[in-house]
Amino acid sequence: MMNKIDSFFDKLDKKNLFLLYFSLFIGAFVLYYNINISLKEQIEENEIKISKMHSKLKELSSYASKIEIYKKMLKTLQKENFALQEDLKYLNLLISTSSILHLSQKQFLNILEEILSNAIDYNMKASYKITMSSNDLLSYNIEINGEFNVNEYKNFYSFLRSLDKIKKIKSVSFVTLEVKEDKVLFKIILSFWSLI
Amino acid sequence: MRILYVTDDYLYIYENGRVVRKELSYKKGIVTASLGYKNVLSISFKLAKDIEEEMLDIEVERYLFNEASLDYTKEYKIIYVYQDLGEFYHIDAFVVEVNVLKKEFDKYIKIFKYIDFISFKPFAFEAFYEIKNITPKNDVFIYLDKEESFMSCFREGKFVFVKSLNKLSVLAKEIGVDIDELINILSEKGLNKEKYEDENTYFKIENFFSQFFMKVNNLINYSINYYSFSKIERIYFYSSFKIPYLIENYKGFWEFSGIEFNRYEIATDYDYFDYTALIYNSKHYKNEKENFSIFIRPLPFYRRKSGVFFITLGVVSLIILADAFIKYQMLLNQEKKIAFLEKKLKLKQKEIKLIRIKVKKYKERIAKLKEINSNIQGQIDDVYQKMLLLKNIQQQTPFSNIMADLVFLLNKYHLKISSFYKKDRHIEIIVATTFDNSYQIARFLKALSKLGYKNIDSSEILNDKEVYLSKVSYDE
Repeated sequence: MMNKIDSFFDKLDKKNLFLLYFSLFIGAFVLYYNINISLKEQIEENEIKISKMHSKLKELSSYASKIEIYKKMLKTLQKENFALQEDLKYLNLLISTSSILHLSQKQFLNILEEILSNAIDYNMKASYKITMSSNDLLSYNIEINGEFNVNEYKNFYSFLRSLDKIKKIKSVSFVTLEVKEDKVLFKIILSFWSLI
Repeated sequence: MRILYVTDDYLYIYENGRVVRKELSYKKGIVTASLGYKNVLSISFKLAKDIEEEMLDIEVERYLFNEASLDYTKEYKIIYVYQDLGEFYHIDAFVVEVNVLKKEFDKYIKIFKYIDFISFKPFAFEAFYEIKNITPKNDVFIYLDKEESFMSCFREGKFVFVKSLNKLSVLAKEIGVDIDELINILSEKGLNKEKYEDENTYFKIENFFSQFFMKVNNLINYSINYYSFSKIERIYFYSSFKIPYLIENYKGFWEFSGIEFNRYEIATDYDYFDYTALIYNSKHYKNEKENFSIFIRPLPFYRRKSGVFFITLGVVSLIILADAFIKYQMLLNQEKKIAFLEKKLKLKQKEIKLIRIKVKKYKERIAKLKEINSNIQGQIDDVYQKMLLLKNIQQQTPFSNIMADLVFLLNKYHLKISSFYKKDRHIEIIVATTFDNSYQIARFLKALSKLGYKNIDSSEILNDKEVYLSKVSYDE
């Protein structure tokens, strides 16, 4: 068999041998081209697919990191909440333990009693109008309409002093004094303030 | 490279410039032998000069079969030498039947399977010059052994022609002894007449050699003309056995003709011709034009045309397959990667779903917490504002102090007050005094300012029947 093949090749002249090799290389090229192209196309398709999947994974991973932002935000808010709660607690404690910030009806009545008593003591004849308002703050308002002799201005002053001595948050929002002959007519609007 | 030279009895080995003789047995190396002139048909002819040298092979073969009537039914091995004799090529073709070659070398084929090179004995003398290191001239080498004899002629070291000479077998027949006995006689007695008891035998021997050399002389004379030699200068006589007194007896004969006559001698213990043939073969074994061997070892597969083709085919196929294999492996790896990524993506997508739910919950919690915090902050701000308000209220100057200041200043500047009006932090009063004391009103205003009251103003000082009235306003 090999002898036949050898003799076949030996009989080939240069031209035929060239044609034989040429056809071998053409065949090889066609075969290589076909296999190579089809595989190359598949590889390229897969490369694109892989790169898309990678970018999708990256995108998903970045989404996963969003939760961290919310976690942080929540944590900050929780801290803030804790601090605020503490502040509020402190304020509430401050308010609840403060004697001056609160004015109960009973306390107000005690004040009223004191005012009336002082008015008697200093001979301040007056009428009283009591109102209560609760806008931002709670306030008890006492409108005192009274009179005193011109000679008793010292009593009036002492009366005023006694009002000032009441240890509550208070303000004198309106005062009129009018001298009528030997009498002085006065009007005082006195407010006592309290947190609601 | 190891060159082997085989003879009937020995194996000569030429390696690294050394020659060794051994018993005939298998050894590795380039196997060579030599073919005697007795087996060869020598045909001389002329060819026209218009034949191109490249075409000589074909023309010689064509001539031998067509003109020299070689038998087409037989296979021959042909080698030839040619000389350019001016108007034509003189060709000396040496033809040997393939069957003769097979018979002749069968013994060696059995041992070595192949013979790479079989030289033609007449050519072998060319190596003599190199071995002896002498300058080539126009020389004749005479070869004589028990089977054949020939003369081989060289011009300036280059082979010119070969002619056959009288065989010893003829002499043996004439004397009436076998060839081996004749060789014994010649070796022992040579051409020493005194050693021969039978003068007749001596004369026959002497006569044989006289005719032998006469033929040599005739052939030389013929060839000088034919081959355009100027002259033959030396004759070297080789015999496979030593013949005493032969050279001495004929030296004078040849010197008379102006030719140097020498015994063929080389500085070796081995046979001179075998040694020469070995050296010659070691130099010429690659020359296919003078190779009589038909027992050539086949070329290795990779050196044959078919081998080269199949190897090329194999290499090309291998490249294609390797490329395809690499790409296929790449594809497999990619598919594995894709499968892995798909799995990872699915997991990630599930994870993302969970994360979305979590994020939603977080968002809700954050929104709720923000609302709570804002409420608390609102509450705190509200309480703070209220407390600030209360603080401001508390920090107001006590009304009794305002009154005390007023009363003090009124007394100091001898003023009287007729009305007092206060709303929030604004105070308006009407003061009264006499004409003499009216300037005190201004002092009173200055004193109010000194005490820290602001926006102090008195728009009018009215003289009402000697009573001076002034409306004074100021802020706490």
